[in-house]
Amino acid sequence: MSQTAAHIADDWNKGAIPGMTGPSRGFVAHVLVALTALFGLNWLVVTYVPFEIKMIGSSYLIFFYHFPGAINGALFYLGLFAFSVAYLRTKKPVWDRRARSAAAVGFLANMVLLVTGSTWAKAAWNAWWVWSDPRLMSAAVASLIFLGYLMLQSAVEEPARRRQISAVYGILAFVNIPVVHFSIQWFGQTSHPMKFDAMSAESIVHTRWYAVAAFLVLYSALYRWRYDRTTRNERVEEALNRIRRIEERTHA
Amino acid sequence: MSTAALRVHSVWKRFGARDALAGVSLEAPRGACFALLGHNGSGKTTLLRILSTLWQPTEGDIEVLGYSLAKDASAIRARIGVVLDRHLLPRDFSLRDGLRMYADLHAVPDAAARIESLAARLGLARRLRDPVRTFSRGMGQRASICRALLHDPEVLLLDEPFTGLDAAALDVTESVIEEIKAAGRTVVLVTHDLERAARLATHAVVLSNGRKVFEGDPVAAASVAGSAS
Amino acid sequence: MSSGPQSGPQCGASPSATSPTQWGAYCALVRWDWVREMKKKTTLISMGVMGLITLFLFSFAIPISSTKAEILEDTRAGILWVTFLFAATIGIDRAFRNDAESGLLEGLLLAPVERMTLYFARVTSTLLFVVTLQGFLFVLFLVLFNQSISGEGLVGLIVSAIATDVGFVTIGVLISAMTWSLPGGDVMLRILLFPMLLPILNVTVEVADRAFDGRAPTAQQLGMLFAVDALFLGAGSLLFEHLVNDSGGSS
Repeated sequence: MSQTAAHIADDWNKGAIPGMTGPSRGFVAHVLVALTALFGLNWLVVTYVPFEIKMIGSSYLIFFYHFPGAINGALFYLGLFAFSVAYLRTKKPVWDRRARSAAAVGFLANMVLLVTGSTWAKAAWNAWWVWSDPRLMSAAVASLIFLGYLMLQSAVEEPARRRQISAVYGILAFVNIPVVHFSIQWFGQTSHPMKFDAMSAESIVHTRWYAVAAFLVLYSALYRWRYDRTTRNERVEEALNRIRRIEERTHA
Repeated sequence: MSTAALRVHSVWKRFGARDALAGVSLEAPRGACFALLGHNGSGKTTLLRILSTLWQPTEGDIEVLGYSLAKDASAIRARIGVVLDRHLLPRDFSLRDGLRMYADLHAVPDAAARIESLAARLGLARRLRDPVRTFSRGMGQRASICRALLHDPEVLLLDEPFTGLDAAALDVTESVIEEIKAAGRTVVLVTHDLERAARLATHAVVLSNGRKVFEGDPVAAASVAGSAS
Repeated sequence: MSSGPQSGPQCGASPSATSPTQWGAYCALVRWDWVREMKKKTTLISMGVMGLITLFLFSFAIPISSTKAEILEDTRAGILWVTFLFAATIGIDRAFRNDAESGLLEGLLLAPVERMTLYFARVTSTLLFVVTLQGFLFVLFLVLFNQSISGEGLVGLIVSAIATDVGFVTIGVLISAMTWSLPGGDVMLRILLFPMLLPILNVTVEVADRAFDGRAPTAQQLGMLFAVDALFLGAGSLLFEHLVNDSGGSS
């Protein structure tokens, strides 16, 4: 008993249980960089890109907060896929924690994409939701699929079973993305043009990719926070289980 | 190929905070009748379910008839017969159809005759046409033994085969196990019935809290298991 | 592999360790699944009744009168497929649940059959139930909604429906293997399955719409459906074993 307790205390002191001793310095720095980068994005949007574009008006500026949602969402979903494959191959819980964290952040990016998209739709088409827009539809269907992944996390009680099911579903969800994309792109009833010539101006292209990078720093900070938190929770659970096992053994 | 029918090497099975098996090792030679004894929750059924390939150990290696459980589970399944707490037969089928289905899955040659003879041996010949859902607990148990023996397995795994049987059925079951032993098959028997275990088994292991506390002579094992519970 | 030294007694008489070919096991599994369903037909009946009820519900959603026939013309393909979806999901939900509850699933898992064979067999038998159901509901739909379809349209509809069903059932049976053991698993199945089906429903409803107008599906539409079938079959056959094998368990 005392040996294990000492072992756990040791883990604790060495900071092996992340987040137990408050946020790490690396994490704080990460968040600061993200906030600075986003501040930089706002500054670019205000000063660098043209305020209004002929035919579109100023509402297009939301695009710089919308586009990163698409790229980063796809990136974190790719992460979910890769981590799920790694989990099924190795059965190591660390990959499950990574997959879960990536799914949560990917879903958040997806939501940002939908909310900004819908806001723009209201300004441009005077409707929050346009069923016939293929991009809006495929983003929405993708978000429903990944919402399923997040719902699975609380639906399965036994941890090992949960990891297994989640990994399989995570792979399936990602494999479905091209299906969602092409079927809606090809067979959607009407297709609203999203590309405007004016949008290929140099300042706009630069700002757009800067925005992707800035949001990536933010999303990766969130990923790190989620990952550290799930790791901490699992370590604590593990430590408690270790104590319970020893107690059971000494009682027997 | 090794001579051991079963080889279990430091097997752990963990359910969250509980170790159902905590480093169990054992070996059963071919032709042995191996009794697994212990009180409720000692891990004996867990071990049997792992040997049957239904569960995977959290840690440890297992070989059945020289085949690795991790790699050749399908080869093992073709060579073992398993009796669990439930009979695993389709409830709405007649006993004959249910057994026919399993005979097909095992590609048993001359299945009809095999089913007749096994049912007759276990005293179920007159119930072959009845739906399995009408069976009592003891009849389900005997039907389950029929099912497990269809493909003439080299290793027979039995989980509590004696519960719910009346005196006559007990004798039949016991003599069937004797016959299987005499045919050179290996039997693994999980049971609370220490008296029968001592009579039937050639080897015995007593488990307690997922650990092996005794291994050796069945009569001595029965007294260890009796005093432990 | 035979190891029985003597074969006198009745219980150890026949040769040991016969292993079926995977094809033989597949045929046996599909056949016995069908025989089992035909005993009481509970799944087929529940699916059929659910489909009937769904068709009736649509009559509330859509104002159907002789003056507004064009409304039905715009929506009939969608009505048909949403009805198929709601009804067939009952059968997909039961692909493992009933067997697991009766203990039969453990028996099948103990048989010397590859997991992939078990999966393909279950997909095939579920597909048979679903196609049977659709035939029944389609006739019912034509009668209740006073519709007709040309021979050419019917061929296109059948081909596209089967192409859709293969994708629907392969992915459905896979997700059913995830959800049968969960509390509230029947709801979870629908939550996980329906979004994945939206893309192919989008295509197949359009094909059905053309079929009612007597036009054949385009090559691109059929290509899409078959590509999805191939993708889902591949994913299902690779992933299924991870769902039925015990997870080993750990802290």
